[in-house]
Amino acid sequence: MEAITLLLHGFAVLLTWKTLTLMMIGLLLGVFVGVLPGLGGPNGVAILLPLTFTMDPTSAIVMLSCIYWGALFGGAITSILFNIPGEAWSVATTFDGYPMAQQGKAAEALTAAFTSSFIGSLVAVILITFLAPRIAGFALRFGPPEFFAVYFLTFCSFVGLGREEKHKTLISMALGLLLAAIGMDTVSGQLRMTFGVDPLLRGVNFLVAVIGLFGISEILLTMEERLALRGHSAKISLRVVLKVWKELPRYWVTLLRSSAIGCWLGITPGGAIAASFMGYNLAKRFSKDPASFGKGRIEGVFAPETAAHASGTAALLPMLALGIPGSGTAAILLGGLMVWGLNPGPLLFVEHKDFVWGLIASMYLGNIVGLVIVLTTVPIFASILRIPFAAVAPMILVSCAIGAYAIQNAMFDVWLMLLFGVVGYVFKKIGVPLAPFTLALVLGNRSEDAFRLAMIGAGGDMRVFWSNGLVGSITTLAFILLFWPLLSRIFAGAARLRHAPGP
Amino acid sequence: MVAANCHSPRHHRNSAKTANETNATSVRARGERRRACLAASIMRNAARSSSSRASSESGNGAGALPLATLLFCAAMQWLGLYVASFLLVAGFMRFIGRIAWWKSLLTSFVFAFAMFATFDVAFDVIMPKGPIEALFGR
Repeated sequence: MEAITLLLHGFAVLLTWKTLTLMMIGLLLGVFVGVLPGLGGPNGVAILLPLTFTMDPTSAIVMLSCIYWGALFGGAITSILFNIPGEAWSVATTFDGYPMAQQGKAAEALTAAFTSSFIGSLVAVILITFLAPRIAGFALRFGPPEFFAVYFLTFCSFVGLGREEKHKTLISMALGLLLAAIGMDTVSGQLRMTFGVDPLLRGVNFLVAVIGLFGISEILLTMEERLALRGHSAKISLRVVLKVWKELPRYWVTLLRSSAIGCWLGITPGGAIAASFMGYNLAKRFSKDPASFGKGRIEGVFAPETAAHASGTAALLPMLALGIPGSGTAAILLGGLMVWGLNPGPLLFVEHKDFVWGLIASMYLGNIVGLVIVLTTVPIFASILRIPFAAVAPMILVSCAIGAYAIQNAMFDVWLMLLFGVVGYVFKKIGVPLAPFTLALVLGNRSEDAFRLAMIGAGGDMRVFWSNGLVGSITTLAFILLFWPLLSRIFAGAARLRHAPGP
Repeated sequence: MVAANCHSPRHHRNSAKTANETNATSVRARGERRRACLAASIMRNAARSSSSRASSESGNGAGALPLATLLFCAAMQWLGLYVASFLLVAGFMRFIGRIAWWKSLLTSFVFAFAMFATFDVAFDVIMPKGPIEALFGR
């Protein structure tokens, strides 16, 4: 029960007026960026990061994580009222949420979405509370080979489990690794690929790349495709909230199932998006009346939202315990932590106990406060979407520029952000996924260091990755995942041959 | 080609730029007539004729945004971030959004000032500044 004591201590760290105020500001800003078209969780956190630069790490990360929760809540508003998914994982929410809004039941749909998000993340936070310290304690015994194996597993599972075309995932990942290598090499101290350009000595900052790749390119795309923002208005009254909450116990199986799926897929790198679809599809399959899904059924809102938020929250577990982000936004939070010199990973639980438990406590508080805030402020945020995009787009652009500049106080980064914006735009046009790129950029140096330290330790013998049971099984699993698409095709082919003997 | 679908009388002006944009747009077009009209409306936009608002906003914006961003970043170095953002928001709202002058100016001023108050005054985040901020002694 050590975890509970530490958690209570975390609450004690948090419960000051200053932190609570920052929490509210963070949540409101988060819902704001979550609602704006062309922004979303990852961009919002990346752009608002500079706000926190002058704070102490605990306040800063509390505010950042609250921005994240707010953005997650905000995504549901646009999905339901405007049929625009704020993030890839709110796509499944539009299936039933928007029809409900069309039938005039927007308030019910929104309440259902917020409540189920709350439940989903609560389950995931409880999981983090009890599992993360265990995993971190276990990972303390990891050496460089084990760490490299885990990084390798992360990369491979992106290739094997991702929904995009495999070669494009590989290309995007390889480009990310290449860019990560720019700058000072931490093992030998040599400069790599700087071409005599001074600002490149520091390397390509991960956050600058993210702001460009997601923020700028997203505005370019939105500008081009001009979403028709004809939404439904909604006002949530206490009566509706209580009515939905009264129905809640009836759907406990769906909620529990979706939470479990979300937690599982959230921890698996690259699985966060799949979670909401899986939650939706399973709820549909197990339903007595599957045909009514997609026509405005409240269960169709509960299922994907719970799964999406459980996975979004659970993605923070490997980030905290192992230093491996489970999703794009977790990767940005990881980048945010590194700005303060906090190195996420098993040692964080030993060296910065206050910080870690403050963060975990803020997940509880942030979700509770967030639920209250979104339930009361929906009409205001829904009206934001009616602001002409020609006014919103330049403002987002300015925020992006501020974010990129403030990270290192360098004008060079602003130009770099523009460049990444164009790259992100082209990638999206030709269907190259961006998530592997950012993952490779943030993990590139760490995995390279781990690999080289392992090689130095073993005298260049590759067998070190199979030298004991733990590292061997992780490496083997990684290879299986890497070749999974190929293997499954072979199995399917073999099965077909067996079942259909020749004429 | 595309323009033939939609009535577009004055598409010669600014031809180099618009031709480019039309090409880019038509490659992406999914063969819908709406898209075709959109491409034509870019041309019409260049010639400043009145056309349906929603489509003109989009078509022009796709081409104008990268250019505006580029100018904004350049201006940021000389004028400082806050003045540059004022110009960007006002210009964008006025020329691409076709929003009334006073609304554009007011919104962009409030926005630039809010940014200044948040970052410079409240959170002490240092941004590039230019001559105007120097006048106020910041």
